[in-house]
Amino acid sequence: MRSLYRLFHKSKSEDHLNKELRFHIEQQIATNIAAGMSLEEARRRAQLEFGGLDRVKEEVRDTRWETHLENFYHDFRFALRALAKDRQFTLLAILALALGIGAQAAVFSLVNGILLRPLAYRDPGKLYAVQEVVPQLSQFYPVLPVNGGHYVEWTQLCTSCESIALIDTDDSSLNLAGSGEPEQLYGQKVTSNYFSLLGIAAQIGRAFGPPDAEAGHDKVVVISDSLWQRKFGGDPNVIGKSITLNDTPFTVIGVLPAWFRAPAWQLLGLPMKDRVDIFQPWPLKGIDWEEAGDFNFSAVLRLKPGATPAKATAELNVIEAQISATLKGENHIDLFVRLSPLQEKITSQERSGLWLLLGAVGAVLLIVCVNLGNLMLARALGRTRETAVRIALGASRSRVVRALLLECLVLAFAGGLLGIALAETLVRLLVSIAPVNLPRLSEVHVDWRVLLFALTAAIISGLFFGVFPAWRLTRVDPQDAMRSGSRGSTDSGGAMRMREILVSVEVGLSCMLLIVAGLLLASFVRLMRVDRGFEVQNILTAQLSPSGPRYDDDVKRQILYHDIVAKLATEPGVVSAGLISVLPLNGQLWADAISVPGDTRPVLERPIAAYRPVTPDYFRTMGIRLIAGRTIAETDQPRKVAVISQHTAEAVWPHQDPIGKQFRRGDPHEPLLEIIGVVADVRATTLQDAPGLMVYVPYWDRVPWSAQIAARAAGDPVAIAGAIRDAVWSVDSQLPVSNIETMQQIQSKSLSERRFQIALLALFAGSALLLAALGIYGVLAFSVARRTNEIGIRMALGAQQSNIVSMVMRRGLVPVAFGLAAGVAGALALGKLLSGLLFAISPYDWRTILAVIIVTMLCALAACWLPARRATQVDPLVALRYE
Amino acid sequence: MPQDKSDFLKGTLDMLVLKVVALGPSHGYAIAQRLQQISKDFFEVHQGSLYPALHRLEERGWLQAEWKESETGREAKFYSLTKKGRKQFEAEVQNWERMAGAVALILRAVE
Repeated sequence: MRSLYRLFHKSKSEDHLNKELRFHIEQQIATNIAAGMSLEEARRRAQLEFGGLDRVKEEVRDTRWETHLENFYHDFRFALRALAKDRQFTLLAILALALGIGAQAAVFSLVNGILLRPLAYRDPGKLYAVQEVVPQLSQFYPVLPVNGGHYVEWTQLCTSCESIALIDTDDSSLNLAGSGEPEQLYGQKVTSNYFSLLGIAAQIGRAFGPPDAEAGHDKVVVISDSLWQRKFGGDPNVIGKSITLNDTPFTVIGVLPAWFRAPAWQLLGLPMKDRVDIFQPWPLKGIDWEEAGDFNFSAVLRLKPGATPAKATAELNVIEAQISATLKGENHIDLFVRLSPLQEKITSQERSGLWLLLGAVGAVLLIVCVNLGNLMLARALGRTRETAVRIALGASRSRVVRALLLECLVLAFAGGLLGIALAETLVRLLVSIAPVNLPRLSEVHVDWRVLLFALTAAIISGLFFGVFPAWRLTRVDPQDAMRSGSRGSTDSGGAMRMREILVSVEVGLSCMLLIVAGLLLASFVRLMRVDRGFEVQNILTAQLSPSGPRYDDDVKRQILYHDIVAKLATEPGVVSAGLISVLPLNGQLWADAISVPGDTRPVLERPIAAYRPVTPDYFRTMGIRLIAGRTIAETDQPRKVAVISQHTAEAVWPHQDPIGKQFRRGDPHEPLLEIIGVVADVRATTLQDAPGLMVYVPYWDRVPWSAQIAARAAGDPVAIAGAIRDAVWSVDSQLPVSNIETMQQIQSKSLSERRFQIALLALFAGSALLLAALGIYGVLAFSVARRTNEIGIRMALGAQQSNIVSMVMRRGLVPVAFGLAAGVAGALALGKLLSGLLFAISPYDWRTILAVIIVTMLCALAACWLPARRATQVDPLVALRYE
Repeated sequence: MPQDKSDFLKGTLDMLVLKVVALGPSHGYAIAQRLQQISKDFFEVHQGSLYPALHRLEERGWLQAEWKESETGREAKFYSLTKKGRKQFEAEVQNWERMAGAVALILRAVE
């Protein structure tokens, strides 16, 4: 308290100090007089013995804490004054920092919203995704979705699990009938404990409870907020209303909160959707889980408090072993479960890409800081004399350094605050261009973590770019500085070396970024050029999901598909039309073994192929090349025929002519199929995955529940959208036609994540290169300016212009060369991390590295050329007159 | 180097000041005189440099000060040892003795 009192009554404490010191000196004078000195002599001796009065006072003041506060205040004002004096520099620095920190914060919001923030469910750390592992199948499927029968066993016997919910994502399209055009919705069937497991309550009405699991009481649905708003105008009276899905009436019992997103992850390489319109309860009782080899569902598990995932896994594996023991003979498989933390499972695909982006934007911020460090260093050198004067007048070195660091921190804070303001806009921009299948995208926004991150980044930046000039200042020798004239004749060696190191650092960082961006870009180009096996031009597609009582018979669906395709082919502007269960790049549904007669291996060890039912014109429509034999014709009906892919032919019937050969699908009860043709491989699931085995069967052999139409247009494919609708509705006016998109759009969607990554990385790498070039230019221009009279002397002594140019260029390019070497080394070191993101290119691809070196070198040359030219224009007379 | 020496002196000065004040409350001038007498002018420091030390010790709560009339009848600032200061002084003396003992031991051993 006394100290606080002193802060506000400064003059009083000063008075006391004066009084105390005066007392001492007067006592001494009195003593001296008593010893026989004259008054004059006594006073002189007393003062001599006491030492410098002002210095003592200053030191006493320094012992008080409020002095530090006051010094800080003065230093702060000094920093503001210094910055205000140099308005251009200040604005530039704040702007550069704001952009750097803003971009950093925006990318961090992605990382934060997607990877770091806990899932928006109750106690999300206890949630795990459950998958099954079958060693016999691991060659094709390292992990599998969950078998319904196994699930039932788990729920009864797992003691570490609070609850486990089963989700059916497979049969998920629901046709909502009502006013206007029929609409297709995305729905999930979930066990009745699903919402209580996640800890989600309905915003109105209720979510499912145990009664909804009773057969007969399951004709109820819970709907999403977006469906509620869209279809029911947000009317609270929707509860209890009946809606017709797939021709069956359901009662709406609840509306979910707007923020709710269903947990979604990759299932056999396919993303599950997190925006679900409708949830249906799934009574598991009375279901006959016929085949133990079916793995179709997703499961989420909540651990009991105190239980560990290892214990739950062990318990579940005991149950799995019991189930496995009941599977005899041909059907025998070993069973295990794998638990993965739900959050990790949902975001695992994005992890490396997002961290890479954060690293890249971090490197850009680092380069910004290096440039600012260089500028600050230049300013500090320009102020050497001022600093020397301050030190000579008694300012301690630490105080001088502190003042300079404070200047940097003020800049960093201003830049950071502006950056945070920018981040909000940048995040919105990022989210708008981000691929829609990025999980948890709706959860990305600026929150306190992002703010904390941005502020930390700002402070670290400030300290970082302040350290160099501060270090420099501590070496100022006041006498030297005062002596060396108004400008300092030449730059001292130490400072110059430091600036060159900084140039190396930024060249190295930008070179690394360019290599990474270059590799990703090359991957993208290769991916676009890969032999897809099908064409994307002029093809329009649409989704059909005939379901409900009217189409529960295979023959009815077969007639529907036949009529629609036949009608569509006659529409004007349509060249040909085909239909398939799943179009390329739209996922994988149905896989089964290929059993060649005489193959004695257990079913599960036989080759596994994707089976896709098609109509005859599918191949022509998609431009899939016929390699041998012929494709399916309507006249083959009802024969059991099949068309296989080239890869299948080589894998299953090597060095043989497969045409006419026979095989079975799966186990021995299936009928034999006869191979009538071989077609080219297609990239069926993604462009980057090499084609697997593929078998096309006629659509009458297995009539799919949902199908995709492909129509080849004579011209612009978008123009035939009406034709598709007309053709479908002329056959059934109640059938929704959804997802009308061109094949080009489907391909583009499948690449959207890569495109997003590359766009951002290219932007960051480009900025890095530009900043590095600016840095090189700045350092060299500064050095030329400071050496004006040295250059003048050289020219006066007869140096040629070319000598001067090469001298300056050498000075500029040596640190660039070091930087390039370091950057290439850094990129090589990153190689392992990167390889997962690349396609058909080695992370050590020398062509990319060479290209980056050349581009960086050219930029560096341009950046050096300007100051070098300026140096040649130095007029020796003017330069020497400076002195 | 010079900084080290002054740091060393500062620490020593603090201990000596505490020792002198421990003998009884006294003002700055008296402390300075006492120090000079005791050390037989060994410490060639300006008397002024005593004051930052006094204020530092006061700020740390090892000394407390009050304005009282001095022997000459003028008001002076008298410093006295606080409880905390006494503890600190004892600790420092112990430290010092341990160090001096160790140094003496080494010097003897090396001989």
